[in-house]
Amino acid sequence: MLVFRVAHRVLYLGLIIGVFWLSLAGQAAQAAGGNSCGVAPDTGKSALLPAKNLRLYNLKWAMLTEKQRVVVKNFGLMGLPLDPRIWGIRAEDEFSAAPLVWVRPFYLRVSESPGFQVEEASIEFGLPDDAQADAQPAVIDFLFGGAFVPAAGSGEPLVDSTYMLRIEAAVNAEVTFLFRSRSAVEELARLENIALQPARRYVLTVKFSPQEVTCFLDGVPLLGLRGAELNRGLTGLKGALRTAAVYDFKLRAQIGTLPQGVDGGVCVLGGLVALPEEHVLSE
Amino acid sequence: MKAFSKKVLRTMLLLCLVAAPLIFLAAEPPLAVYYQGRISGAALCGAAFLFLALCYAIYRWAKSRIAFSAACLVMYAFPAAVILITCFAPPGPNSVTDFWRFLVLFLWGAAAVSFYCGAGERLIWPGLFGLVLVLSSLYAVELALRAVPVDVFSKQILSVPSFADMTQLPPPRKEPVRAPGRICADSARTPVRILVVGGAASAGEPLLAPSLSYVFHLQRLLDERRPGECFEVLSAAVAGAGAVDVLHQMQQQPSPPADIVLVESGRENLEQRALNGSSAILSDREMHQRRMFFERLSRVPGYLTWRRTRSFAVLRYYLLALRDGIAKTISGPALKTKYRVSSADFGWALREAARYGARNDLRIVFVDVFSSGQPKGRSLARPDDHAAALVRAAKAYDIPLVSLETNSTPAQKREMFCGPHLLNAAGHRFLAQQLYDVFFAPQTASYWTALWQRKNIDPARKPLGKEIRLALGALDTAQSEIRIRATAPFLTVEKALLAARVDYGALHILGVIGKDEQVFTASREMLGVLRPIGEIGLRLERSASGGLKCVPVGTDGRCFPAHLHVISGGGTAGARVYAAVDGLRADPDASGYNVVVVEPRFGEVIASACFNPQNSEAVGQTLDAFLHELGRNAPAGQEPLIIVAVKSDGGQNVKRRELAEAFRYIGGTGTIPRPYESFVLLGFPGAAPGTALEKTGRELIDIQLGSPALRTAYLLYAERE
Repeated sequence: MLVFRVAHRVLYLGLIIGVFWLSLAGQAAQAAGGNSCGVAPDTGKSALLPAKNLRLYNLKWAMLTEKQRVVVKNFGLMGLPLDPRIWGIRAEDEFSAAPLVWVRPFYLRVSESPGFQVEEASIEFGLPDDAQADAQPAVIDFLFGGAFVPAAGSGEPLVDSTYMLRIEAAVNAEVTFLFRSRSAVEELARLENIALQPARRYVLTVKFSPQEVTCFLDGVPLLGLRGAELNRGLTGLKGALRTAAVYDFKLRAQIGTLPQGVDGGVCVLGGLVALPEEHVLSE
Repeated sequence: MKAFSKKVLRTMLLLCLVAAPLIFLAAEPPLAVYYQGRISGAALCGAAFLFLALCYAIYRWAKSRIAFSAACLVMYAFPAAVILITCFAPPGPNSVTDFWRFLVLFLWGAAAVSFYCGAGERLIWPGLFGLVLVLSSLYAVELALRAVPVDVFSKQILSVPSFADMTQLPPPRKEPVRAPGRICADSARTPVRILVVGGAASAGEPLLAPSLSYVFHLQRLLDERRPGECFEVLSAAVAGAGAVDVLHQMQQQPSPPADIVLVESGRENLEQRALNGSSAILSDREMHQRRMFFERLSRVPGYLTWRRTRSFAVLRYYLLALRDGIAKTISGPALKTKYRVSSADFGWALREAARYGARNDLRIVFVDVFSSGQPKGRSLARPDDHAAALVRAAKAYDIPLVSLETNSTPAQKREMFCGPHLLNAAGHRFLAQQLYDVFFAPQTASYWTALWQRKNIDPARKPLGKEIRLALGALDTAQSEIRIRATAPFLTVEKALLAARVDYGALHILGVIGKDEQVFTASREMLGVLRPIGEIGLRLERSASGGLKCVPVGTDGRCFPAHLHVISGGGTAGARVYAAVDGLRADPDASGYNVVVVEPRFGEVIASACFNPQNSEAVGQTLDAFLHELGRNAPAGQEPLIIVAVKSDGGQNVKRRELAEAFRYIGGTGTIPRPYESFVLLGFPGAAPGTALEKTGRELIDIQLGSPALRTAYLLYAERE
């Protein structure tokens, strides 16, 4: 009889713990930006490092220690933590002292897929309340059409190139299309003196077709770029020494056929980690 | 009464003469020598001298006892005042350096001695007796202190003080680390030694892999582009070191000394660290001067003995306590942290480095990796005084300066930094290229002429490579063809094919190439879709008629175009492994089966891995899967060469049947080494069993295939016409 009662209590306790962890996992998925497409499986040939510290993203923010919070905050742009299941970094961008590192590119893992095609991306950003006309602009780079093939050893990568849409957010903002190949950077198109208001949020939308990219600010067309296969390749975000405050990021893309032969369909990707209000780094 | 006063005076003078330097030395080094105000050390010194002269005059000609006593008072109060002022004043911008402090003490001592001798010609013997008395008293105090049980003293008192406060020491200098590469294997010449001194950027922080640092890239560039010449890049850089610390790194030259020193001048100042302790604050420059002085002082006989005495420890302890109390009273907690060395000290350190280089026949290159990228909230127009100081020092001593600030565009700079002054991997590669250009650019040729002549290096030689990459700009997209001038200088007899590929795409053959320079044309069809900055890669391939020499590997007729050197030592033969292709080591150097995969046409290392049976007995299965994967992915006839070499042990804890199967797949006989035996297998995936080159045994196995001349056979030079 006693054995039966003990077994009953153990089972009951196990049930409670199981439900608790399942609820946490559900909350974590919500924190990951409501990604409806899942993450491209790691085929072993990725140029991006595998996701790390996933355990932390399955826990509530309040349950994290101060050290764990720093780990979560450091994986992403300044003030914009990203979910490592959706975003990845290259091996050469992994540093031993992450808090010292302010700038590194983050790529959508799924953009490595050969069938990946971006349709539209939108970035919601804003200026600080006290933005001045002579202040240094805060920068955010949207990377697209990238290619990266690392060398076998530690030599120079065989291919390292990307297109960039750079927003230099200030009272007089600038939007620039650039192309980088290794350390050479070429400016392709630029629009200057875009008047922005402090303490207001703006949405920059980038629409893609294979031969053309056009960006819009709050629905008003700003700048276009013509080229080839602009909607394919590594896609990501990069900050700067002074990174613009980004409030939201969404990207709609066709994923194409995944390695296991399944059609990924059209996905909306985000991958921003929502932090409590008091932990969001502001400008 | 006057005679008695004279005796007292002389005794006290002796006491001061002996005690003042002892107090001074006991107080080193944490007794900071700052004083607040705008009076310079020279002015203080001049005033002190006048003071002493006045005292002496009053003493010699004073008729009244009051005047005489006043002179005595001033005389004895002076050294105490100097020490108090310089020791206990809070830190300020005009600090009294060791030099001025010593000058003051020296003048005071000289005046005191002359005063003593002038005033008491007839009382020399009592004076000497007084000196002996003083020394005896000090010795008696020391003996008494030693008689006291050790437990009575606090730990702080008994600890032997260091020459410098640990919180203010520079980071420890490490032994220079050699960048991995060709160890001058194909050159009998004396190597050109390049020593890198600097801070975080040169030490590779915060990169995860040191091989991504510019130091290692520079070695790689020199190895690849200057075959037959020997360069050795050593790094003595330490993260956190500032410009003044770099001086210290330079002054400890490796043996044999360097020929070139790359001075990467950090802006850090360790002053901030001192704030964590109780010590007073010294700037890096003052710390450097102090350290140099005490290093010299430590070689004076008897000084170390004095430092080891208990009276020294007690005296020092209480002086420090007194100093700290007064410093806190005066300055409170309002000391400001200075994270950056001042631009004046920064410039001084660079000039000192330049002078040191000139004295020791070193070629100096200044390297500046500091980004002017503005952190949060900074104004756009912030003058960079440090950069200006750097430029001034470079111009004054005619030293080449490699600065990412001036050598790159603002857009490029954004791509090279991961922090305000931290380079990312791309930045390190860019910096290595800039340094290479400085060595061999025509603009700086006169600076290097003597060194290159001494080392028998031809700076005008064209840079060679296994693959030459030429950038294609926006204008090229409009052209129907691109013309390329190329030569393969080492193909004196044989011919090869010149192959090109755009943006790492498919290879296209442009024509046959030999040692004579020729022009090749890449057509528009071959270029295909060009991106705004495209890249065309050129390399050699064996011609259909044989062409380049190829070393047979095994017995199935396949050959390999590079020089191979493989060593395997089991536990019975030294437990070592070495696998190098064209002199460049490629093995993982781990226990178990070290596997290196090499591309068969150009001899490039594709991958390396280690399969250790001690970690898993399924090593045979894993290795078999790994090899089959390589075989499946390779185009027919272009299967990679697989090098398998055992380090320590590959015979225990293995499933022999599966492992034999894996070895047979690459042409082995299926032999598995016994425990702790050496083993080498060189084969190609899919080869017939028994056709691979295979050796096993208890002795060290050392295999070399091909001549070292193969290392240069595939090198070519190409440029846009």
